[in-house]
Amino acid sequence: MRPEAYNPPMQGLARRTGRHALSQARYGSELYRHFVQLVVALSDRRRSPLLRGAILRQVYFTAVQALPVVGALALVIGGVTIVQTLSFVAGGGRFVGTLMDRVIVQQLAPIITAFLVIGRSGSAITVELGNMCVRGELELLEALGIDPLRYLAVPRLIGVTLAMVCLCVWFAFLAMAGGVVVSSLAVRVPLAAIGDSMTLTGLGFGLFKSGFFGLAISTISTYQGMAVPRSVNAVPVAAQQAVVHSVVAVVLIDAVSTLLYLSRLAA
Amino acid sequence: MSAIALHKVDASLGGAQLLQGASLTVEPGETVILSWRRGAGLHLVMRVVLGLTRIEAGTASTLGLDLATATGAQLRALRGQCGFVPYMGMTVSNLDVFDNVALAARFHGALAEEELQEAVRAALERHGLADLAHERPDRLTGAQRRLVAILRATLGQPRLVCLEDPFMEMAELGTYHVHGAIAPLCAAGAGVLLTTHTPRVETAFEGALMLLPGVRIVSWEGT
Repeated sequence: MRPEAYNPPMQGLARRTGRHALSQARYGSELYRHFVQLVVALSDRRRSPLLRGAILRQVYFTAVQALPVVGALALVIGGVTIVQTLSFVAGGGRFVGTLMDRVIVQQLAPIITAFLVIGRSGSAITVELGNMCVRGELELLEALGIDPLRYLAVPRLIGVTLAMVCLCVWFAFLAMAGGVVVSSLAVRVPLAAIGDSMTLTGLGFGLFKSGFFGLAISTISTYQGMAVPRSVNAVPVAAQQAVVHSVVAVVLIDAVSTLLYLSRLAA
Repeated sequence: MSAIALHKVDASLGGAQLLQGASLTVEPGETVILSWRRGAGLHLVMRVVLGLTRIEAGTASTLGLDLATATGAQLRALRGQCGFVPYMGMTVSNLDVFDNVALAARFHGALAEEELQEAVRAALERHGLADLAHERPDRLTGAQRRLVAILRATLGQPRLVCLEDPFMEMAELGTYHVHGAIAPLCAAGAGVLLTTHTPRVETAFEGALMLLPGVRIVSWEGT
């Protein structure tokens, strides 16, 4: 009998880490390929009333139906952010406008909107496409000469991205309204002073980021949904992965874009 | 030009080579019934004809398109000219009956929107599905879903219709619905390929298969 080979614990850890890194790299490349395929399908100029209808339905589901919950959250978060700041910064009234621009418009609006969209729409997209996969409907579409990417994924990509930008504007507007109401009750900051502190670049940066978040969320959600094997048990797993990976992607995009934006401002 | 021409075709599905040297032709206006046991590769024949599975040897063409060398875009365009009724997964669950029937013709722009809506309304009316036009497929019986798939496959004057066991469960609604949808297409010169796993084709479904126009039976042995 051969003696069992000694396997140092660190070697096992290194092997597992390496394997994990490789599988993540493979996943990243598949996601990138899916995104490129979506862009190619998007560039197909043939018009179809089916696509227009699907985009409008996606915008309605992701943006219009979410307006009340996003609005309520924005009012509360806008007010609370200002109250918190005023409570520990002496003479904080002077900073209300800048705070709204930097914290609410550039950071909170895109991030919180993205998390809401991931929870409401990203997971729903993955479950819907995953169930279609399980029922063999993607194969049916192929057999009818309908590209599932063009018919199912592209409208969701466009719809979610548009909805993200619209929801971000809605969130920023209502959060600022909440902030203005609270600050006017507490320190009576003139509206003109707040308006002067707002910058078009800040608003543009917030919207630019939310557009990117929309692209990332829809790409990950459609990929996870369309990659479901023909097993009902695989659908919840795909939905969970879509949510987690979308959150990670949004945070990474936010960190990188903010660093780039700040370094450009400093230059 | 034949609607379908397979000559000494080899093809595999799921790692199993089910077709070895298979040959088959379907001429315009002709109905060919392929009949054999389950697992003999009838579904694979459909997949080859529609360009969903590439052939490994031999020659194959559908509506004049060489399936061995065609690009993905050419194959999709080809499928747009064909009607297809699968044995399972016949409808799209997030569309209602009306949109399911209109799906392929609408996507490929086979008819103008107004003309399409009129054609779908007429087809649903003719086959007794008008009341269910705005129901989702999960509210329908198996036979009703099959009929929806048949109406979708025959809308917009396809040049070739491929059907997997279209008479299955249709006794519930009446097999004449299948004839009513297919006969005008054959008269207009479309080829029809129909597969069935039922034994004794001549007497199956109370002889309904034999009433199809220009019918020819091929007992398929899988090779």
